[in-house]
Parts: sequence; structure tokens; C-alpha cells
Amino acid sequence: MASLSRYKITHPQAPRLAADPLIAELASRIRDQVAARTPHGATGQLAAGWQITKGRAPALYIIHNPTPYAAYVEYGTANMPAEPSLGPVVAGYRR
Amino acid sequence: MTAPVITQPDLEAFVWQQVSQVAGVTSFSYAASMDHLPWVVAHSIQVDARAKTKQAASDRAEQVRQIMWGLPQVPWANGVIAYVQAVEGPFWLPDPDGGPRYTARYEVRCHPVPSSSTGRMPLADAAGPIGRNDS
Repeated sequence: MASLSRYKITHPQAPRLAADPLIAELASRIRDQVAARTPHGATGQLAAGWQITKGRAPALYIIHNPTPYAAYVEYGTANMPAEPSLGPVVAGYRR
Repeated sequence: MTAPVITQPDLEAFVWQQVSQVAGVTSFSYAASMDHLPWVVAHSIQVDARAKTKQAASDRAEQVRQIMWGLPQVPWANGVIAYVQAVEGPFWLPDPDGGPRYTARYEVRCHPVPSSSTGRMPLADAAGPIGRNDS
């Protein structure tokens, strides 16, 4: 009868720490592509507003845009068609 | 040498045909890209559910979610739904005037029916109709 092997995880965060630089670079690349796709209005505020915030865990980065009307441009409204920039880029990275 | 042209079915119209059964709903495709299989295309679809109240909009969004998840079981003469995945929402996103709205985004992968009038899959061209034996 084969004996069971026992493993003890000594550093649960190790995989995430190892992936962190790659994920950070990926987030930066996505942010740049999203900004390039974002419609430029008179001020360019929306396109310039894309930011990356480091999440609470390693290898977790949040791409967001604090411009108040960003969601309306991305998703559209009842009176305005959507001009999505984040969605298509993320969809491309899901391939 | 020329690559075969694979005519894709109109998934956006098919999705609209299904979700328009729910009042106050709009849908559109905002991205499409080829899968690793050249005859499969992944469509990104956004569906908005609006109503007079937040609860009613939420209920409609849930109906839409169930319709979307059931798409592979709906007979479709022009294509085959191979995959459905919710990628965002449904989440609360009221219109600027405060009008209640729930928004969701889905990834739907589809391909033409083999040897259909809208497209031919390359394997069908090479090996004859799939699942058919004329001998």
C-alpha cells in the first residue's frame, strides 16, 4: 500500500508574490490601451483619468477612472449610446 | 492559396430576439473577436434592464440573466451557441436622470451551423458533412 505524502504550505502568498510583477505590468498595459481607446473630448479628462490602484492582496490591481461621467460613456445612457473603451480591451485579454 | 471565408451568424440579432421578450430591455454587441478556433467568434454583449422602480429593473435583469444562460438550449437555425459567461453584473447603474437601470455584460461564443446557408465550417469542407453518411 502506497504511503500518503504530506505537504505543509509554508508561504501561502508565494504564488501571488511571484505573479505580482507580471500582473502589474499587465495592468499597466491594459490601462494604456484603454486610455488610447477612450474618446477624447474638449478637455481629454476622461482619457487621462485612467488609474491603477494596488489591491489589498498581491497580484491584485484595480483599473478605474474617477471621472464622474466615466460609467455613462462606457455603458451608455437612455439618451446616449455607449462608447466602451474598457470592455473591448478586457474582452480581448480574455482570449 | 486562399483562406476559407466563414460567414458568421448574426448573434446580436439572435440575442435581441430573445431578450426583447422582456419589456424595458436593450442589448447590443460592443466587441467581437475570433477564438482560437477560426470558426468560433466571441461576442461581448451588454444588456440593460430598465423599469420604473429599482426592484422592477432588478427583476428584469434577473429574467435577462436566465435567458442568456439558457441561450445554448434555444433552437437557432443560423448558428450554435457554444459558451455563455457573465463577465460583469448585473449591477446597479441608474441613468443620469435617476432612471432605474441594471446593466450586465456577457461573453457569448458562437459558430455557424455546419454546411448551413450562412456559413460553412472548414472541417465540413474537408471531410464532408459532419454526422452524415450517404453511403
